[in-house]
Amino acid sequence: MTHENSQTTSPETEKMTKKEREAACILCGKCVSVCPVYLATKQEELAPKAKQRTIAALKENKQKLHVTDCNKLAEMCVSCGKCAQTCPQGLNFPQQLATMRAKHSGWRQWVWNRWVNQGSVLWPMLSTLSKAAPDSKGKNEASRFVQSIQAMQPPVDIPQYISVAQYDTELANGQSVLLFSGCTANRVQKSWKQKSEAILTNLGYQLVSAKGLTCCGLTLDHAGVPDAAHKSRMQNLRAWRAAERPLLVTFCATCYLGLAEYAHDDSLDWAEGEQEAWTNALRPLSTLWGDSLFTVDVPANLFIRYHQPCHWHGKDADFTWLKEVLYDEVSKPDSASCCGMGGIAQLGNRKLTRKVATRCWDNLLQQPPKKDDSVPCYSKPMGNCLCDLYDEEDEDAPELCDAVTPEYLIVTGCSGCTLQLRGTAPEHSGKKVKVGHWLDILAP
Amino acid sequence: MSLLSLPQRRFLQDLFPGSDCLLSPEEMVVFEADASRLEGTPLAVVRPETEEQIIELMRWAHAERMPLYPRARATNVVGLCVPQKPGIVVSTLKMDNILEVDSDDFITRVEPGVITGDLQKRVEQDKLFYPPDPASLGISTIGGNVATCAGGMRALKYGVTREWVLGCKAVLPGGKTITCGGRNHKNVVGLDLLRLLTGSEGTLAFLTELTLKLIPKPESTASILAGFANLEEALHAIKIMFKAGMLPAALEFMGPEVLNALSNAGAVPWPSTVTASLLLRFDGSHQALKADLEKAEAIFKACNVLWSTTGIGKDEEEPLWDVRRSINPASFKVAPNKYSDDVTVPRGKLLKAVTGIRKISEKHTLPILTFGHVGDGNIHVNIMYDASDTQELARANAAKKDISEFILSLQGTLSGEHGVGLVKAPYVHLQLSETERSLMKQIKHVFDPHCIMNPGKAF
Ligand SMILES: Cc1cc2nc3c(=O)[nH]c(=O)nc-3n(C[C@H](O)[C@H](O)[C@H](O)COP(=O)(O)OP(=O)(O)OC[C@H]3O[C@@H](n4cnc5c(N)ncnc54)[C@H](O)[C@@H]3O)c2cc1C
Ligand code: SF4
Ligand code: SF4
Repeated sequence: MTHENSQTTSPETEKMTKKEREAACILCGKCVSVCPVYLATKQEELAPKAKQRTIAALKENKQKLHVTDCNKLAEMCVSCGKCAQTCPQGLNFPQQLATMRAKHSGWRQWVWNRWVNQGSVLWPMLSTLSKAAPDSKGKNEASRFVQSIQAMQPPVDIPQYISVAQYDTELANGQSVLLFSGCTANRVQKSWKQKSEAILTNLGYQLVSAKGLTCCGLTLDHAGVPDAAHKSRMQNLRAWRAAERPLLVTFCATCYLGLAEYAHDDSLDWAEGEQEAWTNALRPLSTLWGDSLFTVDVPANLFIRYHQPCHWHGKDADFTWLKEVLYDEVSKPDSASCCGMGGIAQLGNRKLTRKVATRCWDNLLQQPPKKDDSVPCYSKPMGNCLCDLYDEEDEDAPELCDAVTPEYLIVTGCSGCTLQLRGTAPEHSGKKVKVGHWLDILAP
Repeated sequence: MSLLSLPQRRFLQDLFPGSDCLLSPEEMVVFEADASRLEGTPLAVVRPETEEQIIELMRWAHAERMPLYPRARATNVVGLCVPQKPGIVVSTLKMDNILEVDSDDFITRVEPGVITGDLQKRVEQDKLFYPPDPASLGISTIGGNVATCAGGMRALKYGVTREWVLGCKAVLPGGKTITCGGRNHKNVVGLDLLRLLTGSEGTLAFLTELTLKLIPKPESTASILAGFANLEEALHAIKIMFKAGMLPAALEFMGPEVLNALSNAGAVPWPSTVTASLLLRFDGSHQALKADLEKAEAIFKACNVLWSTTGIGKDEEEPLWDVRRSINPASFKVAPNKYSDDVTVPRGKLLKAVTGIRKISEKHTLPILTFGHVGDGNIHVNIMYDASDTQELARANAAKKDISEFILSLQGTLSGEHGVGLVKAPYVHLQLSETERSLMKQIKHVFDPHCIMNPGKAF
């Protein structure tokens, strides 16, 4: 953390307990291969492994290292959570960082100043933070910024390539649903919310009023303002209770993760069995389609590339559904790479988030592998090997004409990723690459 | 805090501009250690991107008598990247380009920092195959794999890294460059320097480019997981299988202690009568795989198999291999700490080795898990203990020594995969004679007269 009022923080310097030692980093290096900050920089000192070792070194001997410099290194994190998913020791760096930040006395003022002045993609979450603002002017400033980001957004000009031919209403069976749209859709991308409402209604769900809901709290938590995060969580929990614990549906990977984590937060006033009910009630929108039917019309020269949000932690319902509907019309890079949205990192280290984004774009704009690779499989297939079918069809399959320049469209399933990718989109064949939520390419 | 002189610092900063030369202790913390968790003192960390930078660095370090520590992802578990004597850590991670994949010559040329798993994915796009598969393939580099001669599960059929290196470029201390081997699949001109560098643990020269052999990618794979009443029966089944002319790509065994640990850590699919388990993978064409599985099942049946399950293709096979992958987390439920060793015995002595290790386990009253690659006699030995109990720690150390001596009495080797580094250096004399070690030291002196390359490691 770089602080204007540079009081140095020191993470606890007490001796390590046995439990801590067991949960310490074993330097296996698994996290290095997944950390987007490392992958974008190739600098091992920025990998989660290095951060864990620094924390341990500070605990053991704080004389050796300069704490402010250590904090600067620690700040090089975009809170994607991938290291925590991979670590055999269960170490969660973004969580540790949030705790360190929250302990620092000057931190809140710092966050606030930065958020207002630099954090444009985080502005949708600003009004929630304003409730915890360091002084009373917070609220007014917040609404001003929210207005300006609304004006800033480009009009949505993405054609709706998918339309729903028939809704499967069996799954819904008249159940009631609370739609959790999240800060971005509520304040900036209202069309996502409207489309989701239409989809849910058409699928036969009873929509419950979402008036009482607020920010999921995840970004606030990572930002090191845990009390604001806690307040948000309590408010959402109460709204869900008031609606008699209906299904809780979201179309944003980050909101989904933020909400899923409630169940592990024992500081919320859970009633007996309520945590489990919460977990069971939470659904990604894309899992509710059942056997609905779609018509698809994608131009031959268009590559729809899917950006996998880190916050799905690999279990991505959106891509599974998109693949079912779009089949070979949609593809994703071999390995998911973080867009660098990074929540709080937007405030401290925009350069870093840009660097991470650049790597992400390199992967997204790779031409997907050809469906057929011209070598037929001569084996007699045992199951349903599709190779034979390809061979026969190939004869008259229309070749993609080399003269047509391919176009790219990036779709994703996270509000934060959409804003970050839109903000960093490069040009391809003279035009800025379009980026949307999958809801943008769908006509409900 | 740095012990480098001002001109030395200046030289490094000029040669490695910006963030490619680290001098502050905060930035260098991670470079003190590797996966062995031993520690040393880096004076500086540099990140070359070109061979020219390495040549210049090697010329300078040679003149300055400055120790250099080549470092890739630092996943080796024997202290190979630890700057035990203060010196300069040279990170290869910015040299990570795949320079060429040639499907006519069946070779690939790569820089040393390429991640092995990334290379495999890349060559598979061209229907080619680079078989070496250390368990760390997603987190370790080709340079590291070559320098340690890494092995993996497929060693039974395809051999270890050494078998797949056709050529390399390297820079010697002093700055001269050499090219060993090349893109020919056969080459017998001169002494085999390539083999000397492979597995040399960064003690002779700095590898700047590697040429690797490729083969056509097998169409698919199939696996079988089988449970037996005891280890004897399981190993007998393997013997019959080899006699029947079958050569699996991978062949793993898990002993009774491991199966116990697995069932204590969660539900296991086999009945409780099973105390030894085999896990096999075949590769080949769709038809051949079906036939292979049928034949393997028939052999196992004749050998009193108690339980088995099969899978064809990645999706079906994964759950079988998940069992193998869960050994490590399950082991920590047995005891909080472990010594893991990767001794190897001649293939025919596997049963003797495992039975003997069990006796050592009883003698020291410590749980010792044995599992590993039956195919090549490489046994992973996990001595489980609680480090906070000083007596137990002492017993674990004693058990470790007993195992080393016992394995050598079977004409085995102290390390099949992980290498010597700092961790096993004190035991090397048990395996290598004075004459042999002296010869190795003289060879090292020819390459590196001032002993600047990874000093204190290997032999
Ligand atoms: C979870 C896990 C599983 C593992 N599984 C296996 C396994 O199945 N089989 C196995 O064999 N090992 C295994 N290992 C050990 C380790 O992954 C291997 O030793 C691997 O080859 C090290 O590669 P690295 O890129 O991390 O190299 P590093 O550890 O960084 O370096 C290893 C050695 O290579 C030298 N070196 C690296 N690059 C160069 C270069 N360009 N020029 C000269 N010298 C160089 C270094 O000086 C050092 O001596 C495992 C480790 C872990 C943590
Ligand atoms: S949260 Fe993401 S960016 Fe931060 S250290 Fe972990 S893997 Fe790296
Ligand atoms: S994965 Fe966990 S234990 Fe392994 S190096 Fe990273 S932080 Fe350390």
